[in-house]
Amino acid sequence: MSHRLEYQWTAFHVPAASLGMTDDRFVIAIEGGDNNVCDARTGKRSRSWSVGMIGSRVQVLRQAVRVAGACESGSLQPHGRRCTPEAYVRRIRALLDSALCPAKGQWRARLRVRPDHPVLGELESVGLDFRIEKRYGENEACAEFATDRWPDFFGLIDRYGLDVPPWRWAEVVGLPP
Amino acid sequence: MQPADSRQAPLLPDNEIQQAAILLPDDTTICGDARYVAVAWTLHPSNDTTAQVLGSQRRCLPFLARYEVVDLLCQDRAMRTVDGGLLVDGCLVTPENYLAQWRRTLGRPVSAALFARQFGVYPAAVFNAPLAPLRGQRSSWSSSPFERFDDLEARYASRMRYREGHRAFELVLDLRESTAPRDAFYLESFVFAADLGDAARIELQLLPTEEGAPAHPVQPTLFAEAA
Repeated sequence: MSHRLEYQWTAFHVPAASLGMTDDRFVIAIEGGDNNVCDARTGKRSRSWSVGMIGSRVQVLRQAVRVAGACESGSLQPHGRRCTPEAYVRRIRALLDSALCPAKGQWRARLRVRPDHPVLGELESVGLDFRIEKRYGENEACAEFATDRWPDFFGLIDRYGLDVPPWRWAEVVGLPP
Repeated sequence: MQPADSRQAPLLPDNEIQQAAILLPDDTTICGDARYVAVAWTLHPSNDTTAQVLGSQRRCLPFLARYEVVDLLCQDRAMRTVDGGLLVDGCLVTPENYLAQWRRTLGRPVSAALFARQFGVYPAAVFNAPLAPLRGQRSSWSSSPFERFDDLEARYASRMRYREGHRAFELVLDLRESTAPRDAFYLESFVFAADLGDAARIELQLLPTEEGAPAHPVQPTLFAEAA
């Protein structure tokens, strides 16, 4: 049966003071891939970085618990080994406790949702624009947030974080394989 | 749409005051592995206590493997412990400790009969479905004790409540009976195979026993200490 493998984890820390907010924010990037998907050129398992969790400490831990449930059945295997959901949550908790921005790589606040998603109405109300892009044959609304709009960005995650999965809120680039 | 603010914990959290795992017989499903009915009692801010069968919001019977119980907890209740939205016996608990507590509960499961004696309610699989699409249907499973739905109907005819002029039925299977969990599984598979959609309803309910509530009903530890 197919399952997801995770290889590396890192956290970007956004201090509350820099946002004018009360809580620090975090972007948890995870390098992972499916056990049965291989790169056509190298023959090795495909793996890539994506945003696994995003938001305040509480939001990240809630997302981690939700994801961790898949460890119990073996559908999610960190380092290719079985682990308990408890161990997975502890791993993310430790990552939050030691969060320093990685030496290489960065994250981008780039929201991608379906064109009729209610979050887009809120974007317009704070003066942010979005564009419609074709992705995998489907129309998708895409909005980018400059650094000075991160308070708006994390404010939206506070309200819509349960509705939009973490990897649709942001992207990571330049992290080492 | 006005979304819920995912940053803030609810001002008045729920309080989990009791957990139980009912171990079903080995022949309950075709897999032959251990299956559980997991129940959590919650004391709400309104002071009402409700018993929730984990997985009961799904359209199928919540006869869960151990990994399914843990996964369901992670999707909801364990997640709510992170910000104190769900307390245990009035105390904050980490999701790790909450899951550990449930593992202990799963490690000492009770039979449906003992569960009923302890809590004054018994688990029952309740089926409501039209008859015509089911009659004559063959079982999908070679292990089924009922080759056709008609065999199952003959076995339970005296307990079926026929409705709408014998066009539909309701059957309540008391899971304390030794073969009831198995028969509930195969009846569910007949209903699913017929693809009846909203015309059929399958639920697991906790019904009061004839004896009523036990002498020592479920009480929050918080109150017991205060007494």
